[in-house]
Amino acid sequence: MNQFSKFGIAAIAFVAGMSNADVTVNVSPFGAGYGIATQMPGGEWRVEVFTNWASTTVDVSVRGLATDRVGNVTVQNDGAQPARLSIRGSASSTTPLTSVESIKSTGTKEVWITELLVSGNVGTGSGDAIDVTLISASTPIISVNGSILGNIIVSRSSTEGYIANMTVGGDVLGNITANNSSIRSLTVAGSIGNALNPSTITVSKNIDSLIAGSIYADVDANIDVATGIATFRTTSGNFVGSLTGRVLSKYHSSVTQRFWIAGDLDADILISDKVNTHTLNTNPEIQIDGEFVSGRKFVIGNTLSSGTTFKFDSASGLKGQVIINGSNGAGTWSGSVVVGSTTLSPTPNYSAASSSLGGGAIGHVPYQLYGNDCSPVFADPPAANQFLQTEIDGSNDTDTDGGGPDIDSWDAKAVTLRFYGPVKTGVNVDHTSVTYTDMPVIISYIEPISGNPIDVTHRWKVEMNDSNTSNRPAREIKIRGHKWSGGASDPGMYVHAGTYRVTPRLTGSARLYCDGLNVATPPSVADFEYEFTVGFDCDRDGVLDTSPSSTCWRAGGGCVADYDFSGFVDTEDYDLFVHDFEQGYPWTDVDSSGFVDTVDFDAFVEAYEVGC
Amino acid sequence: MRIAAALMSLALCGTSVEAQSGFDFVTIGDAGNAPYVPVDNTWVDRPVGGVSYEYRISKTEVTVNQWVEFANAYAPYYAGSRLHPEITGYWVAPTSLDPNIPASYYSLPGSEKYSADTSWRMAARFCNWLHNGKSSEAWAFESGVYDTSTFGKDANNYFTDQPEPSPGAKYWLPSWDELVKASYYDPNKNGQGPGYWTFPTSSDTAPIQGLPENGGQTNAGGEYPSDLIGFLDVGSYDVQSPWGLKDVSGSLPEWTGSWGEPLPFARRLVGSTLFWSDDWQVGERLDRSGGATAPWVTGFAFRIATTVPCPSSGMAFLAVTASICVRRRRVH
Repeated sequence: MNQFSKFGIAAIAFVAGMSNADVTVNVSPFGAGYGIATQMPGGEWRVEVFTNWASTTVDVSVRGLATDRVGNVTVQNDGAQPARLSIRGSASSTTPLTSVESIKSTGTKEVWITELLVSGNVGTGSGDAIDVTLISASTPIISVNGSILGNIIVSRSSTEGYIANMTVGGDVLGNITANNSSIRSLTVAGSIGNALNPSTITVSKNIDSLIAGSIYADVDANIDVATGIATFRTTSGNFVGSLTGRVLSKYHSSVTQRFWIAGDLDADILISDKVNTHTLNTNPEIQIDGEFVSGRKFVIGNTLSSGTTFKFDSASGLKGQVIINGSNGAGTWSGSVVVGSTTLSPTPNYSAASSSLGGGAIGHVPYQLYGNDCSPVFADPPAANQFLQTEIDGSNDTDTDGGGPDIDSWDAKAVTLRFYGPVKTGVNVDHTSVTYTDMPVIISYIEPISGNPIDVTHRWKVEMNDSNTSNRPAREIKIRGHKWSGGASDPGMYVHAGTYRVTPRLTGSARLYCDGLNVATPPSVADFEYEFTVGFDCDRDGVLDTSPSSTCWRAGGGCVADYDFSGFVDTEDYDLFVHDFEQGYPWTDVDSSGFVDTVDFDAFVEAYEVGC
Repeated sequence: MRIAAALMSLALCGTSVEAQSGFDFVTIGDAGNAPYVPVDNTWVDRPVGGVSYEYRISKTEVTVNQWVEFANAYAPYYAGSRLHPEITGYWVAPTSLDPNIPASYYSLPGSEKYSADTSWRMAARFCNWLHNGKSSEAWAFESGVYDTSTFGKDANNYFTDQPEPSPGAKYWLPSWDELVKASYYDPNKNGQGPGYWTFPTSSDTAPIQGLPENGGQTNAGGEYPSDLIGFLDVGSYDVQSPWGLKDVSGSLPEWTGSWGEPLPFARRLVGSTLFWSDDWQVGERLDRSGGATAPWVTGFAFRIATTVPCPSSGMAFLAVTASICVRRRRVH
């Protein structure tokens, strides 16, 4: 049996034999509408409110005993002004109800939750737990001691809406959507989302304060212009997922704002504009207590402002990638980045090797060569004989899949170039038909007498994150000789002793460009010159030759005609020799006269015709 | 008679910095005053502000520097993250997060005299620590005023935290009644006898938002989004309650020791906040007092209540002060 009365008097329903009629609904002012509370077979109270009051704001109060469970609450406001909804116990202004299954606005006008006191849960685990215009209280009396089991939706079309002064003692297990609205203050003792069911948090306006024990969510707060994130914190656990926003530490005058993660940051972060600070604030604007997980990116589109501090508290906590000026504009790295007790300097080309920081890096776009992270470490000039010919020529490579030498099998002493950020090229450097002009770096032999660079890229192979593969160390390029003998289709070439210089290809499809950016045309890496040296091991005994003979160019007296050392004399040898001869490479000095001339060419042709 | 008693107690035991605690206490006299009786129970759900005994209360909220002293004393025993806002609040930072380095905290330069903020439960530990003479022993933080072993929830999600200070407590979080009385009650309002002001600035008119040098009376609602004022040192404004309490208006809402009634669901708060420009007056109006939140929630200030000390000498004072130096007795 239902009983209800219109025009502001509490509407109460009874279910025979179940309980006293203890949930009431009041709509005021008098005559503004009516409410119905119906006890359902399960014992919970369904609440329905209707109002079409044409003049003032309508106040709707739902009251009950602290032991009452409220079912679905629907408020249909078709009046002229907002309806303010208060749901709590009746004994006092601080008495909760036990639980609420859902709260939903169904009318054409706004419904604000101004009080919500629940000792247990709000929501049932399926569907929307709260779907109203805004959630607001002047004092923190939106208080749920249990969990929110379902989605929270606030949506306001006129002016900005918000979720304000809301605390949850348990978890929020559902999505949070704030359409044309901000999260002014949402504090959760437990977790938002969990590992199995991460939440989605969509905020059109600002995140002024979002604090939770841990957060498993994809957070999008980059919808509207001129918005930002002030405080985003976990108090004990990890942040797993992603976050996009425009500005961190939005308010210049507030030092209360911060991005602090008490556990691991296992999330991709995109701040499309900048990270602000306040002159008073010596607290880090960004602080990560645990690890910034490998494979994750923290992209600052514009500037890490002067005075800001981005701190990884663990000395090995920087495992992921931080990118500054990710929009490739004029953004600067003006703040401090601290890893453990190490402040990275000078910026942006700091000296501490990534191995001393956790393996990750901070890159300012366009990325520069990370000299101390390279192997061999960048030096000008490089030390002599950093590699032996037999170490660097790739002859020890294997091929497990028939597709060419495996990167993992590369000689440990391959040249490894590393950058401050992830790099990529638009070609497939693995492909056996790749030509040397499609390589993302140019490798030059430094002619020992003139010092002129001679392009010998064709004698080298490169492994990196290319158009075909993205599963390689993103900041890294490995280079080693082409003398791999694992397959007839890849006969390899001899690596000569001497000094080599590596420079980036900066134009064309094979250019070496900055990866990890949300821009249509990522910029090429910053120009650089990196040199390494190869020592003689003509007799291939693994020991540096102290007195290499003049015929050492031919690898210890091998067949002259087998120019590429493939084991066969064929047209590839001829074509390669012609190419090298035309370039004037010293190793085409077949007669060891000290000059490259027609005598050498004739000598090679003679040898080629005879064969080995 | 009641007014005279109050004035006498003010004269005898008025504001003074107590050496042991370092707090500047004011004495709240006029024991047995009538409570404020709400027109309805929409917000203030019971008569509030009537206190039958004299007590003292700190003139200002606990400052960041005072909190740092506590945080560093408690740091060896604190099991939570060093970044947890219940230990750092807005203005305190850990010196290091390296677990191999003993935890310590510092106040951000310039914030030393701002209001500290924390959870109710940590504020309770602060009281325990004061009560136990600022001992750095682990037990000193966990009992004396509030037994922290009671902190928790029952099966119905109600809090099990000790509801009242232990008998003999030397320092405690003021009850809702004690803080309301100290903030709003005037033994001689407008020269016409006892009464309650609407605002904690000895006024029925809302204080003026703004910086002190510009004639402002409160920083309530002055932080963001309006970005007008921000935090200030405690006691920056001239306006005060009839008993001399500063900053009940503005700064941050303050914890009280009182649960909302009748169930331990949330602890009462008093005062407005510098956050949010919307409806900033609401939080500090007496007729809207009594909001509450869970004791684990952080971001709220607090001040300390204590007993009225007996004069150390002077027999002539004994008779006069006998009535006002009684130990605090709770009646609710």
